[in-house]
Amino acid sequence: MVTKGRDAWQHPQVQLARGGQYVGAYIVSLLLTGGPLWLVVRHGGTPWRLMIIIVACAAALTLVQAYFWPRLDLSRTQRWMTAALVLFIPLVVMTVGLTAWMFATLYARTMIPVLLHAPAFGY
Amino acid sequence: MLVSYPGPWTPFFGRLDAQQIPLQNPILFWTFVLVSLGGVAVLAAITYLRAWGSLWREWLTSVDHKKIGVMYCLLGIVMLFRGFIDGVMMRTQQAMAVGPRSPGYMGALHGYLPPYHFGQIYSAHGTIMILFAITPILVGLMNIIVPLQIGARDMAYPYLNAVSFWLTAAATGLVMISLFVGDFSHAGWVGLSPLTELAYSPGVGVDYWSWAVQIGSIATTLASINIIVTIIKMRAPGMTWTKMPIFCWTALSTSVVGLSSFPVFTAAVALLSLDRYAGTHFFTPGLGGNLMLYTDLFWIWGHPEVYYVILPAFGILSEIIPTFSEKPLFGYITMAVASIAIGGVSWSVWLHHFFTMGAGPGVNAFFSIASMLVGIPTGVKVFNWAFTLYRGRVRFDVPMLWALAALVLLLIGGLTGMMLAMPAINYTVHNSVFVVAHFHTMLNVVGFACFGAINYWFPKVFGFRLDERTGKRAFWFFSAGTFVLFGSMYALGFMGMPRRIDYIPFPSWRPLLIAEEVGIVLFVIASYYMIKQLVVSIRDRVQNRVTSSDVWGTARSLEWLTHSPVPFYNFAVQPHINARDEWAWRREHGRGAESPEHYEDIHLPINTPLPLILGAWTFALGFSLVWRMYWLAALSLIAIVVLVIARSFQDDPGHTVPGARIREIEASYRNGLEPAGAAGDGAGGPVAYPGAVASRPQDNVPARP
Repeated sequence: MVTKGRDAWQHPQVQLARGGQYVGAYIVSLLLTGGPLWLVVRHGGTPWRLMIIIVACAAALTLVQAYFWPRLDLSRTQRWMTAALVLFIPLVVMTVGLTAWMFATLYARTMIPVLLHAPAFGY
Repeated sequence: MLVSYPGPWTPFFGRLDAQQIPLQNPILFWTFVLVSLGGVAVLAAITYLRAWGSLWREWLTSVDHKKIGVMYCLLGIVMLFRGFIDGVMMRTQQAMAVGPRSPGYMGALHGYLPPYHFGQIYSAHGTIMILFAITPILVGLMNIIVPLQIGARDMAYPYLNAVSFWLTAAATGLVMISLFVGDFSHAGWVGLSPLTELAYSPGVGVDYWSWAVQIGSIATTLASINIIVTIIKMRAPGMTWTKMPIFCWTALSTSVVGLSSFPVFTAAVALLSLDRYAGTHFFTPGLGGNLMLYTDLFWIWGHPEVYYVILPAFGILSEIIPTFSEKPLFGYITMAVASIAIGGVSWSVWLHHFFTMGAGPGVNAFFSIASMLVGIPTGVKVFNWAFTLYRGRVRFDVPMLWALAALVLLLIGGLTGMMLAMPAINYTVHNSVFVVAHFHTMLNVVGFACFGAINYWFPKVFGFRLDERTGKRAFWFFSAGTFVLFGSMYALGFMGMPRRIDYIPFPSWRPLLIAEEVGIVLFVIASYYMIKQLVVSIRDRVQNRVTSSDVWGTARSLEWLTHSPVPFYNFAVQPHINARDEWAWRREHGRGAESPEHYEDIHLPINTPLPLILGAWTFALGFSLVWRMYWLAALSLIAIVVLVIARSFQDDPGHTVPGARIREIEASYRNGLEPAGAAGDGAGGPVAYPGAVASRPQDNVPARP
């Protein structure tokens, strides 16, 4: 990946840039973000179904953004970047999962029950 | 403005005005006077010695990994002393402010530090010691030693290396200038939430802390990337993974930890900055925010950070102990596996820093067990060091003394760590000075290892030994101080003394507080001997000059193959690795450094002032954001972006040192001479070794006595 010479435009990573795909990915990202938001606002479906839709959209969003923006693929130029992302996934899953676990029942354990009905908590 | 805060704001100076310079505080005033005088003296000395040119060419613009490493270490040592002085001030305050009858001085009701000033001092102490003292020293040591141990000419990205250093320097500059312009955070080094929110800390102290640590953590992330790539891609031919020195294994593990964890910290503090600057509510107690989320994010980084600093220390111990036991390291494979395992487990233990948050018993049990698991690979390491010592020909040179004492501290810190890993005990001693004593024991393991490393590798870097006599005195006083101070602190923790208090309500604690003060006085004496050791060593550098590549005679890894001090090209010929302990293997087989018939030209990167300029603009960015001088912040950010883009278009062909020049330098070394420029001005200098350099008169240096 190391390039010799003065012209940064010739760098392999710069060569991967595609303006049209950036814009397209941005529009798809808006749709994949806005769609679940719209469903949530309209209470469109059971909580379980909403969760499935949100998770599916989030996964699709991740793939779209990873491929079309930083161009993560298995080419010689990008394979270390892709490897770094793949190696990072277990840490994300672990930290987000453990955080969700530790916070899941936190308010019920630590807040005075009366406060749970306060406006700040949505009641 | 998106947020409101007390005090005036002007478009040009932001929140800054003359009132922010604390001339009315005698401690800060006289510190400012002393620092100013010291600064003037240093500048005058450089001018008198006409050293500005060489300082610029050989150090400030250098991309040589050894020089950047030395500058990292110097920065870390200076900050170590700053943080130490904070420690002295805290100990003295707590020894004075005991009981309602204790007198007050300089505006304090008890002792000599008002609570707000005391809060700033313990916050600065923690931030500095962990992020701006120990971390730079370790990164500096890795910078110097890793390329030498793997037979590389430099780091994988020499320019990025310099950028990392100057960003660290910029962050450090922010912490230091907060002494004299404005004030520093009073919310602890962890950034206690929600105390860090604008409503509770409306001054600029938290902003100084937040921008300094954000810049510093970006620098450390970049340094981690550099070390990982260097180790993966630049090992000498023949150096398979199982032949790599153990310090490099720990450097690799710690850098993976650094790369994966520091961005979490940067992001967490960036969210906090959004709270303070844009009025968001990520960590506010109400309005949808969650203050414990900050604590969670902080320790997702914070605990891996603990292993970020301890792993290189383990690597240092693994280098020193075999050398002075005159034996190979016991259990190399398990040592390497343990290093990686500690890095891996570091990601699943962070809740033990806030067991008392109130998470469920299942959560606490999980993190308790995970925390205890750390003891397994660490125990493997301790047993390996013990078996290395067993039946070895143990010598008690200064580096070995530091290493052995570090083992004792590791045992104490490890056992008290096991206690703290149990939620029931943790609930009892949470937020007490028992916790403070525990992590100071562990960080002293790192400190002792660093002092050992400096004594161990100093001759390799500078070509002369550090004085043994004063070094041993420094060691004994430092060790005595450690045990007296933190032994007393453990006892006070059991007695229930909370951490971070400026006034001690119970006179019955006073004897132990005075014992802590005695401990800090022993540290002061140790510091005197450390400075004396350096001064005496530089004074006697001719007598203490190293004449062989292996000053200790029993070293084992590859860095001891090349000359002392290390020439700018590291190795005249790229070494081929035959064994795990390459230098020991060559020594035993009668094979030193190769002297080929023909020396190849050596290609090296050229120096550049751009990292220094980027560091200066980053400092300006941080300073302007602290004071909300938005025009300067925008200008600094634009300058940084423009410079980075311009650099990507700049041709960097490097420079080539002719093989004939390498032959001359090598011949001088073999003849017992230290060739002019071998360790210095040739290291990537703008005019480094043009073809005619061989005829330079200064190359004909006489032999030293």
